[in-house]
Amino acid sequence: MEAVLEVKGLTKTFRVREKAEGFAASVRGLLRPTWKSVHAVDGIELTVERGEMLAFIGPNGAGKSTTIKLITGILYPDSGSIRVLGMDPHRLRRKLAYRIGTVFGQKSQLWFHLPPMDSFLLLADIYDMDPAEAKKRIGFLTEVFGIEEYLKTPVRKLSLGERVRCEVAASLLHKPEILFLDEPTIGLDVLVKQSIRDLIQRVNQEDRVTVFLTSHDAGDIEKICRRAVVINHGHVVWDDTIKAMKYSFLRRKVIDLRLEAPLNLALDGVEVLKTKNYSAKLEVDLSKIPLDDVVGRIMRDNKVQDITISNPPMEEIISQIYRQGPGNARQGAPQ
Amino acid sequence: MRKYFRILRYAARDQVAYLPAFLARNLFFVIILFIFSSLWKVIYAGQSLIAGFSVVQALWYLTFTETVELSKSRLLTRIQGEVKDGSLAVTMTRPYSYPLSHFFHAMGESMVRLLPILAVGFLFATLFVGPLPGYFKALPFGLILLLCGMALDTLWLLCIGLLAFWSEEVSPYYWIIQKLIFILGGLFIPIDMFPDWLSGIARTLPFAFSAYWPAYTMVSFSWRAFFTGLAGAACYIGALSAVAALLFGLGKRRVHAQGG
Repeated sequence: MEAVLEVKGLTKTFRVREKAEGFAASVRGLLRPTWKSVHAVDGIELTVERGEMLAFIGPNGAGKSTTIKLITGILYPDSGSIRVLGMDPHRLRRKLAYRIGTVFGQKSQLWFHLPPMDSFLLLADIYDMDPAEAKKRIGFLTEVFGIEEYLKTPVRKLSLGERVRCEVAASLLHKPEILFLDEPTIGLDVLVKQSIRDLIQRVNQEDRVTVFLTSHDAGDIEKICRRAVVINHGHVVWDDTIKAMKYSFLRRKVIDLRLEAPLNLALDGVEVLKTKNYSAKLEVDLSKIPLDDVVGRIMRDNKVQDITISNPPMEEIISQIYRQGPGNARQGAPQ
Repeated sequence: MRKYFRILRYAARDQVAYLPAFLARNLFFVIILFIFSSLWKVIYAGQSLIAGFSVVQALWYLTFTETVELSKSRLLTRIQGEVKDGSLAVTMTRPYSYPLSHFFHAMGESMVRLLPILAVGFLFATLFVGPLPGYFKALPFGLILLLCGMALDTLWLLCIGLLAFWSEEVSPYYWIIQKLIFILGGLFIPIDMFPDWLSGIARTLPFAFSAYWPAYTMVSFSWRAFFTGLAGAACYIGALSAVAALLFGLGKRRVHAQGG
């Protein structure tokens, strides 16, 4: 496999001015400012292969944005090395820009008062595309993304979902090899979210575009990506497949029950999360008790109408990883 | 350069999205012209010329200096906002120059604002003090200098906006430049009316090429005035462009990562 992104020992520290409370402290701060160092990125190691769909996640302030800005050449690293498509991004930022695409969910690249078609033509010029080639590509993306009917409507009159479809299409105009998506589905309803996720997957499969996704939406991570890298306090705390994240990280299962009588169960390793009438929700800690023992006891001591066994929700898994310190970092994905 | 000229065109089109608001902005200009025509008429009572200017020339002079001033874009606020909240990082992932794209964007805005201001100026200055002799002959050359003046103003806005990399609030710096254009640039009063020692200095300063030289060429056309205005503007445009490039080159190392 070919690595499109290699990051080794990456660090970035910001100097942030501290401001104390009160007028006197403000005056003192002017004369003698105090600074603190914030280690936004602290020794990140990361390899991404061509065609991968990677979720790059972490809590607010974890260092995600800083890392992306370092990778795209916007910020200068303090130490470590970055190679993106064989280039050093902060030395060859503009050259690299021709080969990467970006979608920032909270910052539009479309002109607000003009139709998306105009923004597409501008982006084609920005990427120095041949006009005939640009026209062909716009036609192709228009069809794939189903945006033909609002191509000539001013962006301000589009719904958020329509706009995001246009945003993603715009980011793919110059056939980027890596697509950076920062919260692409923020604020969208479930149906539109699903359609955006499907489109991203289609682009990945058909053009082998590497997808580097940042999102707080567990659905995006689960539905789009095959691998997740979690960072916290500037460190990688998890790097493995989504499947491994779901099935290995938390040794827990959730059991939903509908019974004919109140629940009768008291077992070490089983926590009753919720009971209502003759329904119950249990969480089983598999490191303390096997699942079949729990199910056997439930069936023996209760009259069960319905039983559902599921994994804990993705949000819960992710928040568990966020709570984990860097000392417990797991790196299972290919390096 | 195709990308930058398309930015200029789109910025111009973007301006007229809300046509009534766009046109209503020019009402303020009518008020300024009315006040100054009344003022100049009082000052000129009994005199046909002051410092070589007739009352007609004095008011028409103001219509042209104000054209540059009122057609100014909102570039300063935009750059300051983008630098402060880090959103300029988004534009830096594209293969174009941040300062150049903003320059062309602002010029597109200013150029489209210029047209109604010129029309309003023509209409109301004619109404208040009568037509300007030689207007149509001077217009093509005056327009070139007006565009140079707008480019200079845009470059001031760009340079000061880029100071946001170092300073949290940059509008006070522009306030100083704006007042220097008002006074030393001859925005309200032609520099010729200043004392000799001051007018000699003021004519060579960059502020005069934003206001005085374009307006003077329009109201008192001569090839000498036109080429002096053009050469001076070209020099200062070159110098301020270099300053803007330098500021961005230094400032981009200070881009702060926001969010995450």
